[in-house]
Amino acid sequence: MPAPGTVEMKETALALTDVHTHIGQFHILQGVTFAIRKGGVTALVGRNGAGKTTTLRTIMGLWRASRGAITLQDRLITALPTAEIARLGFGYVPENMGIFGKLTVRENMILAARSGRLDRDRLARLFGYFPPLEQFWNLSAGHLSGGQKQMLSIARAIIEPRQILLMDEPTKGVAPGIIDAIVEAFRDCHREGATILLVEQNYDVALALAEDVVLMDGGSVKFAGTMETFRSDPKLGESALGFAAARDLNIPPPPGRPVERI
Amino acid sequence: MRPSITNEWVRPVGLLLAVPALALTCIWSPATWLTLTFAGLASGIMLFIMASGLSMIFGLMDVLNFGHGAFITIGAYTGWVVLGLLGGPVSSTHLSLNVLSIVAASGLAILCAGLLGLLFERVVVRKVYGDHLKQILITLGGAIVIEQLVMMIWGPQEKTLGLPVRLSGTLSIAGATIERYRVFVIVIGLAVLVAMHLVLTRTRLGLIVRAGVQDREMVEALGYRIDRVFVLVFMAGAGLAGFGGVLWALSEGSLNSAIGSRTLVLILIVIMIGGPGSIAGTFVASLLVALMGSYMAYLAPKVALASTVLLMVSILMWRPGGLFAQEKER
Repeated sequence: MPAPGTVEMKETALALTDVHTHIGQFHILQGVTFAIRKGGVTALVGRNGAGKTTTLRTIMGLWRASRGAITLQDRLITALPTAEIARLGFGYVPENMGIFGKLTVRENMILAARSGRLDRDRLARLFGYFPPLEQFWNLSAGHLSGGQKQMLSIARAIIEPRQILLMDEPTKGVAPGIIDAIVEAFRDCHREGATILLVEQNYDVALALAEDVVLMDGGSVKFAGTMETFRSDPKLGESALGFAAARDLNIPPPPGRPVERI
Repeated sequence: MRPSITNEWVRPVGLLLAVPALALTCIWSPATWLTLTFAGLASGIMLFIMASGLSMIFGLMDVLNFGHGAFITIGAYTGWVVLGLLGGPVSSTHLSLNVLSIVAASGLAILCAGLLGLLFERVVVRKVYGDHLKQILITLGGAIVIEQLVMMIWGPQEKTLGLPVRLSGTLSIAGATIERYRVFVIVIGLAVLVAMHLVLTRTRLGLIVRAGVQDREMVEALGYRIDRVFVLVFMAGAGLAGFGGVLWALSEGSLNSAIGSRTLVLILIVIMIGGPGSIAGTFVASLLVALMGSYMAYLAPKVALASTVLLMVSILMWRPGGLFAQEKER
């Protein structure tokens, strides 16, 4: 098997090289290597337990890589404290959404705006995607519904322009109408120049957004390349369980998708 | 859709009001009841000042600091030394000079206890993040060392300290005898509560602390060094304990080096009842424990301490996480 993740890239935003992560006695990531393109949208896919969430947590420094290197545009960030990694320009939506339930929606957003001020125009844009946030602005976030919490988590990650967005299943358990709003929000961030790494089980969403795909299984990368290549190989789809099922539905790609960008 | 935000307050506050009400029916003398209630409120306020910092320390970093009593001791001794030097203002008949002497004593006590807190966090606590057993052992050990140092410096004998002139003595309200100092303490305590509330709700630091109590990882992922914030919280908690130490020693009229470790048990009970990490919980629990203690000391002195423990057990059976349990995202 050719070494995964060795596709030649023009400009790399984030690169993982032979990253291993242990959680207690378990060896979860077993040599993860891939790179994501600057300004691109990459879907990180794979069945449950493949190591997707662990990969994002390891990038954020919430779990420490026991071996290997993580670089952000040639800067080694493997050993930095989480807060300093975040300040290099990361926006992060964790798997559990990480909402501060005792704080109001407003207070959650204020904390997320590291510069200290909420940008009114940007906030108005976020309210456009996610109207309930405006409606419940002064309500304790713990009282929000699951979907509304997900909106808040995403809004927090993009309240200021970020270089890299790490999104761990942002559409999980969310109603279809809201998914459209999330996709729109991500498209706008992409247009702004943000690099997005998206863990996604929803094939439509991955297809609508991602240009590149990283497929993980058993704690290592099985495929890294463009969405086109990924789609053209049925064996790869079967490895990403949810994707294989969706492929049978034969969903056409959205019109106007650019092809061959690497 | 919009559940009442005050829901979680109803029962704890109801309980807090029920205790004096029940006590009134048992004591059956409004004047005695009022005296005991004021005594209980004043002790409760002092407990709150000492316990609130420890509660946040536990809530934010999951650190069990059994050395918190040392800050109380240091604060009390600092206050005693300062008040000893300020003979003039203390014995003056001007209320403002009296209050100023206590402000000076408290200010220095907060400073000394806060600096000791900084040292304690750096030297002792930092090494044992994440290990409760080690935390208990080493913080308890650290506190013993500090207590013994205090004894070496100032001797083992009981020190006495008197209240400033205009703050000693009693007032008569509706036939009840109420110590002036207790009214003073209640006013001070409410000011501390308001200040704490403002810091926690109106400043970014306060937001970080409140968010950190719930989900430390997410606060870090948003770009805040929670370990640095924790040092500040630890210092503030130690300073408050020192402040409480001065107020407590003045209330007792005497102190020795064990003043901190004696109070620690009560403080730990308060934190368990209130729910670690909750300022509101610590406040309600402090008043509850102190009022209960005050009434029981009158009604059935022999079971006064047992009643506090009983109170804790029954509340924890009702709400295992304390009155204001914090949901954690871990």
